[in-house]
Amino acid sequence: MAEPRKITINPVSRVEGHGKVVIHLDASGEVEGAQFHVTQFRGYERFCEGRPFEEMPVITQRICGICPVSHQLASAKACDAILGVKIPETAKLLRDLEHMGQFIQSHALHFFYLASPDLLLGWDSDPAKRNVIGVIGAFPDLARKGIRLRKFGQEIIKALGGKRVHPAFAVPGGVMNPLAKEDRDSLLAGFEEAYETAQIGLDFIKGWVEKNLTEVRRFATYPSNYAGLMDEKGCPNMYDGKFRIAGPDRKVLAEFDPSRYLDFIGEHVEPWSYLKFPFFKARGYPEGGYRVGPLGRLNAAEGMSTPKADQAFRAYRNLARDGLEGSTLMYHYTRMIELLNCLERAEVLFKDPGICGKEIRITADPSNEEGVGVIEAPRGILIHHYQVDQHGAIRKVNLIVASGHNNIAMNRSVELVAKEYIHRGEVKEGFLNRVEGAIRCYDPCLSCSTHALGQMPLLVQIFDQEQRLVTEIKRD
Amino acid sequence: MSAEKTASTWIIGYGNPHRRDDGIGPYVVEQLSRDLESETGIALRALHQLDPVLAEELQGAEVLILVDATMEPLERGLLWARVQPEQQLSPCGMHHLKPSMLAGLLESLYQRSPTMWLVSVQGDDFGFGEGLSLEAQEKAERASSEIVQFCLREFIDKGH
Repeated sequence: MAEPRKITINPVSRVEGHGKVVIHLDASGEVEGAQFHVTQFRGYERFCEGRPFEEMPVITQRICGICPVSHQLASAKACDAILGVKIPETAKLLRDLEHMGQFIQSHALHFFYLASPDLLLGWDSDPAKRNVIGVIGAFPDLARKGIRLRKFGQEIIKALGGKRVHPAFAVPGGVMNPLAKEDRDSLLAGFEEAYETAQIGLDFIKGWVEKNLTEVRRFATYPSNYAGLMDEKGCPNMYDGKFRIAGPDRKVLAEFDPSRYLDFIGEHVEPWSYLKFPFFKARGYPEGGYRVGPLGRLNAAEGMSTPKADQAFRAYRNLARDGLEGSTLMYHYTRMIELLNCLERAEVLFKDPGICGKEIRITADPSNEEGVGVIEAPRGILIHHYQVDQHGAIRKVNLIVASGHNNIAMNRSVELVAKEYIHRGEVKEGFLNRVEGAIRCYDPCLSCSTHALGQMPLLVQIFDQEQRLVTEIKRD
Repeated sequence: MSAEKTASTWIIGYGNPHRRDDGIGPYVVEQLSRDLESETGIALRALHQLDPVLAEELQGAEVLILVDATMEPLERGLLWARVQPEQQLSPCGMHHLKPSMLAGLLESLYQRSPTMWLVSVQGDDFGFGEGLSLEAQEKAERASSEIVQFCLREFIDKGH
């Protein structure tokens, strides 16, 4: 009989940041349990203390190189709340547009470069070629289109904030610059090609799901709660909206103003991860875990706000039922529907008569000692919550990012995939790739998700073959 | 910057100007803009880092000169080296590229193999802050001068 053993995947590849998966096998080689460890460590919540709150949109966007716009916008919204102002309409349109650029570039990057090697080349293909270079070799035209679509999203960001990454744009009370008409006209010319590429991606993933239903059904499929920001019609709203939590049957469990998130969301801490585990308080931990991001949003929604995406959403709903809506692989499908939605939304914004308006910022002195800013980042709900003193200096920061919201779900998915594909201790490379792939579906940004410093426990435990604790190293 | 759409020669300086001498690349580009910006066919750009989207924009490049800071001690304080394509990307994402990876992307995506140089310039102070150290500034200005000479010799004098 085989001895109990442990499998470690470190680092998890094709995700943003550094994580580790540990799988425990029992004596017969079956999976006993699995954990997804976030091993990197940041310090944003602590080192922002004492800074003037106006600096927060600039400081916090440096948390991430993929979704800096999301952090900047959530931060600016929290600062608006501290100022107690309603920003000018043009500023709101421009922030929304910048956000659409962010979604377009981020979703394109994930689908065409991080996820596509598994989908296009196959889970069990040669690991040496199962990467973006392999995709370029086998599907060069698709790879070129993907890179151009990402660039299109980045160009939108650049037109507003002066550069593609870490733009200086959203500020407390509005935005820094108006949109130039020539930039608007130039970018409008790019939509035809962008739609074409997004549709290619959407058609591909829809076809892939239909052809691989057996795998889709057995790949970390489980009933969960879902969460997203919704407009008044129940459609995902990436910039603003009510915080909705839906159950596994998609029925709404709670819908509330995002500034009240503390009444509904708790944060559990496990000693083996730097990443906290947010949960829906009414259901407790871990049953109150929920999924955010494309799958969470679309499973909590009643439709999409734009026509092409809504049509794609209806097709998705026809397919994703009888439990299939809980398949983790459906993240890829829903991500492509959102990509289409964000392109449509961006085009609407570009054509809005107010988009090139000049009234873009309102200035005021702080009128509140607390502000909460919540938006949808590409990976899911992003919460920035600040408390300031009477001088506007930051006293306390709480950040809950998408990959944190998905922490319970990522761990559950890893365990389910491991149990499905690893038996009798036989661990083939393709199986391990599926375990990584389960995490990759969530497109986690581990750089974003680990931002706390000081009180996070670090615990190292060493067990013998009988699972008895031999040594424990603890740092308080 | 100069007309990028028609440029056959690109000079890209990259690095983080908020980490002192890591900003050597952007500093060199700023210096070069005085001497070369009016030259047609030469595009100058300062970047934080190289990223994959850049490959799409460099399809028309025949010569590519990258300028980056290095912590390695160099005999002359700077070093010119030809860049060979590498067909491997970082497994951890698509945030940034090494020059060899950028060359690899150009080759695999667009079948382009521009003559590619990396000019490494030795930095001394990579701490937080803006502005180069005096030592790095001297080396960066020498690198700028060599790049101007290179362009004059290789392209402008030959009527490119």
